Amino acid sequence: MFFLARKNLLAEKIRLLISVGGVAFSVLLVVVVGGLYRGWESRITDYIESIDADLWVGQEGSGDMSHSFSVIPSSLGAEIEKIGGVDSAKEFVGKGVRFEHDGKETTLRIVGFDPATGENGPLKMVKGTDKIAEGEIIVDRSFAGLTGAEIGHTVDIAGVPLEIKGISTGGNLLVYSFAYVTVKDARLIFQLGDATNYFLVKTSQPLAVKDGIEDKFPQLAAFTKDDFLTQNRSLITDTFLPIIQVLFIIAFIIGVAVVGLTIYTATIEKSREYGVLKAIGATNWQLYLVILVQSFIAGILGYFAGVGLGFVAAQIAEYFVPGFITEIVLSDLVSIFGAALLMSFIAVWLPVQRIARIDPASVFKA
Amino acid sequence: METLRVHNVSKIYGEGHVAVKALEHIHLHVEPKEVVLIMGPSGSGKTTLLTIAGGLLRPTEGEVTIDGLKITKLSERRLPLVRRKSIGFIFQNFNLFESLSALENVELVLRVSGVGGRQSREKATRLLTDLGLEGRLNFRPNKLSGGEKQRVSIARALANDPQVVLADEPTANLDSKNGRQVMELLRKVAKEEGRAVVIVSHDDRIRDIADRVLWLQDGKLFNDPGMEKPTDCQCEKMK
Repeated sequence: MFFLARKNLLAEKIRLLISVGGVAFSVLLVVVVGGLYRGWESRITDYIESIDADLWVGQEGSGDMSHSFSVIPSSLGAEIEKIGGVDSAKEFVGKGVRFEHDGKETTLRIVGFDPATGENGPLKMVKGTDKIAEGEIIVDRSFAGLTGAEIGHTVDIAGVPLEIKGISTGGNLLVYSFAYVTVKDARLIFQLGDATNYFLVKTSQPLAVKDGIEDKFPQLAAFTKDDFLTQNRSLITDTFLPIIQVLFIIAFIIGVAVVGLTIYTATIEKSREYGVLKAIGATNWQLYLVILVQSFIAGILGYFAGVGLGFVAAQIAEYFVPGFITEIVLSDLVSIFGAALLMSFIAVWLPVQRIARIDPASVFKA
Repeated sequence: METLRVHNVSKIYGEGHVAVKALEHIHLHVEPKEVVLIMGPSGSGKTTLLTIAGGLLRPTEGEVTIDGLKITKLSERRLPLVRRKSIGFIFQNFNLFESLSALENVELVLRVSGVGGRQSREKATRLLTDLGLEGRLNFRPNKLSGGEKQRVSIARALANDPQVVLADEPTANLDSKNGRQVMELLRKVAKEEGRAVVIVSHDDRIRDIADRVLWLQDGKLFNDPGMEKPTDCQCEKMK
């Protein structure tokens, strides 16, 4: 019966195109939105992953760098280093700052780093230098792209004028991007005084040290590197995952509706042929199979078209919009393929109902 | 022994005061190699009789037997298998699949029966060649003449070697020459291949092709009064 399904599909090329287009559009949407999710999920922790620390120690109640705020006395660093198993506890200064640039409100996550060693500095430079001095700043490529800022321009953050000396990449997190200044400038911008945001602890026994710190300093919270990465990913998982899930469902329904309706209209038009098949002895299941094969062919063609278009659309979008970070992973593509097949399977429900009702005796009517 | 036996079949459409008697106590026995032509005016019940004989419609009363198998007693699940194996249908409007070639139209019936690709293609080619369509194998129906379409339809009906061939107005859409050829083909099918052929038709020109001509009027079957030498129609109700 496969050849009848194939012939039926190819006989109506416009309808086939609509059917394949419907699935392709759904798959394109899912690939791009899913890719964005993966991209953000991965990129948001790239910087934190690059930091050489076994434990992040912050203020109690501060789980991550996006949702909460941590300010702790710098003097606690020496106390933490006295806890057994701690090799070192270095200050980390960094937080989001909202300011006005060229008449527009914008947000940067300012990090203080040591330009001499590059410690806690940018992931990758694309222009200029990372050997900056006080009164200088490195901004992300996405910030430069969005604001038109270039090397030599000055940005005024919290009353501190900073000249752009370098442009980095890999620090764009959708809603804000990383920018790097000296630790002294960071303290000035944040008005931290004798405080810091986090301590980066090096230890060979992270779990024991974590317990030790939290026991001794109830006002502090310590996170293993993996926990801190998970907490920071929650910006994406908590905020965007529900939206993405809704988009997935919409895309799925669109795919089912388009394939279902095109196959259904084709079934109505070919009712007489299905009646003839019934009259000559085809069982309902054989006819369902014809419909199912048609739907699967449309689904599979639509899947490959959608994936291809998804890759192209993601590349084009990322080229023009720096915040459009996508990461399309194989396991997601396999899942989307499964969803496309499921889409095709559900889409045959209406046509199958129609076929079941066709009376084979009706083919004798002139 | 008869191949097709229609015994005391009645068919009533609707219920109560809107009930319509389409067939009343029909008896029809058709033997192998026999061609039976059933004539009658429009609305006389010819197509109803054909669909009941073909297992497409259940009678209100009575039974239909094909080669000893009571098909009126079979479940909806088994009926398609009997139609596939034992009955070949020829339709007034040919009912060919427009998206398929002549060869594929015939092949389709064999595929439905589970015959493999190469085997079904060979048999379909042979059938169409036997019917003089060797030059039209890959033509779609819209490229065939009416006569050619009906020959494809006959090849399709014969594909599964059925014992019974049921033809509904097979010459209605054909000119007299093509109509004659189609009828001669059906007679040949009956005589040379031993099949029972039942034809329902309005066409008075084809009556001499049949072994027996019956007349159906108001749901009742009669021996045809127009036949010079009526054969034994094996009808219980005769005029």
